Amino acid sequence: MPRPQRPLVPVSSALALSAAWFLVAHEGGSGWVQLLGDLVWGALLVGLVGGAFAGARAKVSLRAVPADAVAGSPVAVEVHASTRLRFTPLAPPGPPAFVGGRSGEDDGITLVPARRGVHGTLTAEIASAAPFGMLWWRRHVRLSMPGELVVAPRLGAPRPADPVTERGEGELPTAVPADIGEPRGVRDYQPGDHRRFVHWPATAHRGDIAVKEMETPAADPVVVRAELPAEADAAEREAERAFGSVVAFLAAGRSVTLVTLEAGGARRAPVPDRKTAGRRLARALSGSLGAGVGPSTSSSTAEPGGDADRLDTGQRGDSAAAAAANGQGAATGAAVRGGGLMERLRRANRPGPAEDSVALRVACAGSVLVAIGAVHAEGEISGGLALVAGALLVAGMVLSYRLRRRPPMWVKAVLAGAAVVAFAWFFHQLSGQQAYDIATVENPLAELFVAVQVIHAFDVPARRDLSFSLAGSAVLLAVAAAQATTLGFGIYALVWMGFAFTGLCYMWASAAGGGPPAPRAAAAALGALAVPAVALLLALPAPTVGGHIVFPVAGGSGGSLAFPFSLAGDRGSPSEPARAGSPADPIRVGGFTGFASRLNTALRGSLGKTVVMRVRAQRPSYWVGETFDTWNGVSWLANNTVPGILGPGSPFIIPGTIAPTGTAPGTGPGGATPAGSGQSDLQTFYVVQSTPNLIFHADDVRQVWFPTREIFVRANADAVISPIGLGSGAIYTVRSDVSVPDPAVLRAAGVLAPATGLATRQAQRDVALPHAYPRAAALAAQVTAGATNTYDKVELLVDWLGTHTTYTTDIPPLPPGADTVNEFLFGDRRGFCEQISTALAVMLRSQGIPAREAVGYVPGPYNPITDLYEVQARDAHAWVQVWFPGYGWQSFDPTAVVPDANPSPGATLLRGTGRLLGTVPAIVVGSVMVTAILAWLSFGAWRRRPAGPAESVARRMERAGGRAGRPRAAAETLSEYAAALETLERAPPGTWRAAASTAEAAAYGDSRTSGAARAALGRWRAPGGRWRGYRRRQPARVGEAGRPGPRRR
Amino acid sequence: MVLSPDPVGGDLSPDGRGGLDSAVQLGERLVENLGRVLLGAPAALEAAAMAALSGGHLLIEDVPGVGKTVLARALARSLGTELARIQGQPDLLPSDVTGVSVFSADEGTWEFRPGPVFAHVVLVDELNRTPPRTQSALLETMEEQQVTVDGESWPLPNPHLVVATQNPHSQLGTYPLVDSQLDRFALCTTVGYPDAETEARLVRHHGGKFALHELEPVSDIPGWLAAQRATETVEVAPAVARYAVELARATRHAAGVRVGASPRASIWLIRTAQARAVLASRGYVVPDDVKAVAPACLAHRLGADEGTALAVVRELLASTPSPRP
Repeated sequence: MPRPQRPLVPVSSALALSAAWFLVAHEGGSGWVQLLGDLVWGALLVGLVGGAFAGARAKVSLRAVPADAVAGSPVAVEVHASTRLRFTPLAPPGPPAFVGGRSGEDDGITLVPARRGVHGTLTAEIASAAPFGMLWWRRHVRLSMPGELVVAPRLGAPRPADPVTERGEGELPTAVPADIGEPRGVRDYQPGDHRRFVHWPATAHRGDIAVKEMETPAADPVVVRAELPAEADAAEREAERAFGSVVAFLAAGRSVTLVTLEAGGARRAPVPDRKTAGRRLARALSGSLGAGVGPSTSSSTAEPGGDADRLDTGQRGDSAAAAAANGQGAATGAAVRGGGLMERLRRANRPGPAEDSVALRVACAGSVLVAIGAVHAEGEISGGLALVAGALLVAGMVLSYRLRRRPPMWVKAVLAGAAVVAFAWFFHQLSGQQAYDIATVENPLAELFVAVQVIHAFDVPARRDLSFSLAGSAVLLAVAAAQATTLGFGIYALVWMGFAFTGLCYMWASAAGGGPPAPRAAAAALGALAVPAVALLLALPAPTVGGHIVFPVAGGSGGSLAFPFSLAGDRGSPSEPARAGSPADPIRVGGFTGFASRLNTALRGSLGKTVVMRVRAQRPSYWVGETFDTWNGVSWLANNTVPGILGPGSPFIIPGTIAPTGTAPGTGPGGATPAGSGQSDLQTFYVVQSTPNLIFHADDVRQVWFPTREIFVRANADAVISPIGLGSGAIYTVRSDVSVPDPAVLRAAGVLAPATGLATRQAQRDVALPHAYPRAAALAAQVTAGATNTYDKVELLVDWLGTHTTYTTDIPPLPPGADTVNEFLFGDRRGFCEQISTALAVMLRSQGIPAREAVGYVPGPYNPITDLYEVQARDAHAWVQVWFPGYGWQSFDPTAVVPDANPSPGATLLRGTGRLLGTVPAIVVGSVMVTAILAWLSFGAWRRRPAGPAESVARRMERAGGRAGRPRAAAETLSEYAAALETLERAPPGTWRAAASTAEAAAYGDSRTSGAARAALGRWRAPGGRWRGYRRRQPARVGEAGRPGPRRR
Repeated sequence: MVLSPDPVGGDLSPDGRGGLDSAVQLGERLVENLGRVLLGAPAALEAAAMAALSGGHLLIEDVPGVGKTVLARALARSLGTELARIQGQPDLLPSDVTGVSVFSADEGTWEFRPGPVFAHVVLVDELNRTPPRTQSALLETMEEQQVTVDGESWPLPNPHLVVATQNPHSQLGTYPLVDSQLDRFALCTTVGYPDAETEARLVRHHGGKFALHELEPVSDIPGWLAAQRATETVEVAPAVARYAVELARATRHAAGVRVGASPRASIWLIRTAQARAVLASRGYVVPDDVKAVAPACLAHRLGADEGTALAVVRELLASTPSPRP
């Protein structure tokens, strides 16, 4: 298994980046951050472990190894690798090289054997950091060589005292004349023989020219004894010296006998040339030759050299290789472990080699540019800054590419100065702020990030620096994504991903020796990356706002109001005063007529799908706009229309009077703080379309961040009113108490007198009815009979409404003078939220339970990409609030079911896709799919169609053979197959073979086969019907060759 | 329905067909003629006939006394020419093969005296007994069909067929044939021992010599040349050619093979397959032809361990997918 190489830095960097990203996603509650994070985490995971897979699956083999080499000299070897790898030969050692991955060609590597020896295998380290070059994984492989590699020792200095002649005399190699020879015999003259060699006595004797045949060299063979000491280095030196002596003698024209100790014992044999001597010494063992060498063993060493050289010494070669590998490993290990902290730091900070890949630089610069653009698009930096930063970034990238070989010191000094300035400016920006929450830090921080990126771009000579740029662009994009509220951010995300993925692929291509990345590997990496990304997308919970971060607020395009405290903006123009809807002019904001000082239930709006606002919230809730306490039979009215002023500046603390959850002093049961309070959520509202100047909030608003000096609060009527018009672009944040008491607790509280805790005047208003509703009261009493507390009564009424009324927005106008509730309850019982909720409120009031009408929005569809609730005009809603002593106003929605669980982005996406598919008619989908399948099948059949009558014969034959349990082997020709089938089927001799021959004639002869022959081929059928084939298949006995053989009957 | 194959595929132009017919006839009669002399060795006969038709040289590898020389002699005689014989021995010099330039004292010029290689059919007996330098002299004659002596080139008679024999079992005093020499032989075959009955017939008929003297030529030199030309026109479908090339390529990566088959091997695989097609009275090559000639055509060229080359080729034949009509 591969082991990672120095995993600490890449793994910890990846973990840090992941953790930071996760924190941003889950504190900021941005779906975009998490979505991009899924991809980034997938990429990091694949990048970190990809090398292990590539390394484990890599197949490496040696293709060509020369037979001979010399220690210390490079020797070329051809390696075939199935994928791109760093290949470092260890035993015998050699410099690392990159192999494989280039269209399957063999790659040349170099070995530099340190010592003599015989190698049957090559131990090497292979390493891969595919697909992104993040983390190298390496493992050792042992490759067998096609043939042995015999490594001769280095050529040492000859030692004059070493050689002796057979007669035992010491002799200097230089004493031998170069061209001496002795005639071995005479032979006939051949044209070209020099006359110097004519043997005159023999010529005279024969009468025909005879020529001397010379034998060179003439002298006695010199004996060189290679006595190798046991110690490896000393043995190597000794072998080098012996080699030097042999070569010197051979050069001097002497014949040399070499005495060595080999695996089979001492060996004494002449060495005709330098190569043989090298091979002999390569095989020589360490140890003493002893007394065994000499005349007594000469008979065993006199055999011809060629055969003896073939003695297999593979085992000894292997042990030498292993020893060399150990030595090498120990040496490098010591080098890696050596050195103190300073040395490690220096090594970590050593600049890498200059990066030459322009494509990698372009990809990195592109990803940073896109990130800067995204930050600008989300309004965190100004357009001017973005332009300047982009230009400087490009200039910096070009400059650092030009200076990549020798980055001058002055550039670094200038950059350090610039960084100091950027940080100083950042802190200066902060010093003007009062509170360091993210809302105030966010924009200066984004500017600082951009500045750091630009400064860094001037000093990216090496690949590692570029990888920092890439990671930096990821951080910058996360900063932008945290603010992204629309799908439009996807453009930036997609382009950034394209650049970043290209950059990552080029990282590996550049780390693996340059060149473009392999497209197939890149596609595989993309696929591998998608798996964890999709898994994370489906598995991770929705990122929710942490509750610690208040997002920046903005005034948007609303403008100021003529009467700041009054309601405005109900006609699409944010500054126009709001008017109650009238039958003549019912259309209000998004078609809803409720956001005004009165809610006329006689009006019928039409609600569109326009997105009104987007809400970033920790959990879904009803977004309350305002509440009404007075019912006149047709309309709900707000009693207090003159709001109070709240100041001085954001954040505004809303007094408890309008958030009455047990906050009225001394009114709770026993004076204790009611249970369930204190759980508060943050909601940030992004206004998309002009809305009324109501500040929406979840149930009980506590705190408001709003970009004005003051806001208005309608006393007791529960509306927070903005002094400015709320047009698109307005952003405000609200902290609301969202604690929902347990039903059991509410039941307990509901046995008290219903109005306990309400101020008397208010309580009177909240149970007041414009006229007696005898039928409604009787109905309510009948429905709630047996219930002992308020909560159960409310639940029973809600249930009754749920089972006895039907929801529709398409109801006829209210007849003049009619009462909405009577018309609804005792008419056709059809209506929408206004009718249903009003009916509930009236029935509750008829039972003496304080109830009021609330208007606002339901949470709206959740967008899993942006992690925002997209409130549409048709999400406008009206529901009922019921007073519970000690717990204040509690919402009940008789119309719809409140979504009560946090959605998961993956499930929502799947559901959304399913719903989208569901809208397409099944018949269309089905017929398209059937058509596609049919087209695919017929295309396949068309592609597999027989090319001619010959092929159809071959196919029929194969089918017949398949039925008989004897499929055609790939190597079998048609004739062979036909012969085999003929035997198997006991067919008349020649019937099958003739057909095969004819088919072959048509196929290989030419297309000019006679028409009659073609027609005959087309009509040919395998002898024996289909039914015979079926019968044969069952009892198929396995013949000797593992195939069903012919059976006896 | 029973079909009978079209004898020559009906696929040759009228003029080419005539040439092919005579080639088919020559092949049939050649095999028949050789069979009269060499009994019980149909594979060797076929190899000899294929060599004659394809124009490739033939290497016969077998123990002494199985009729190698008789086969060569019968081949020469059947083709209407005489056999030139070179006996391999260690003292054989290149000039003994190619011929020498002799100084003519009368005319004062150098005159080239052609050696035995200047013949249509040359038998090099016990080729591996000649030293490498003499073997080298044969390299040029076999491939280029010419002899270069003293800077002058002399063309050899056309057609030119070298039949060499070697005795694989007696290695004493032999020089192993160099790869380039082996690669020049289109086919390498063995004769093998005859079975008992055949051997008895052989003994009764006083060996093949008796028949050899009575052997009638089946062709003359122009006829032989025309047959060779016609053999070259035998059609090779692209799929079949690719199959031959695949086989040759497969030897280059086969286990236990140091040096695979050369492109020359692919060429001769096809040319000998063409000759086999002619012997089977076909005007086109089928994959079976390639399969049949591959062992004789490829095995001797592979740089493999002794005795394993043939097994390697057979293994490749069993594993390389053959084309399907």
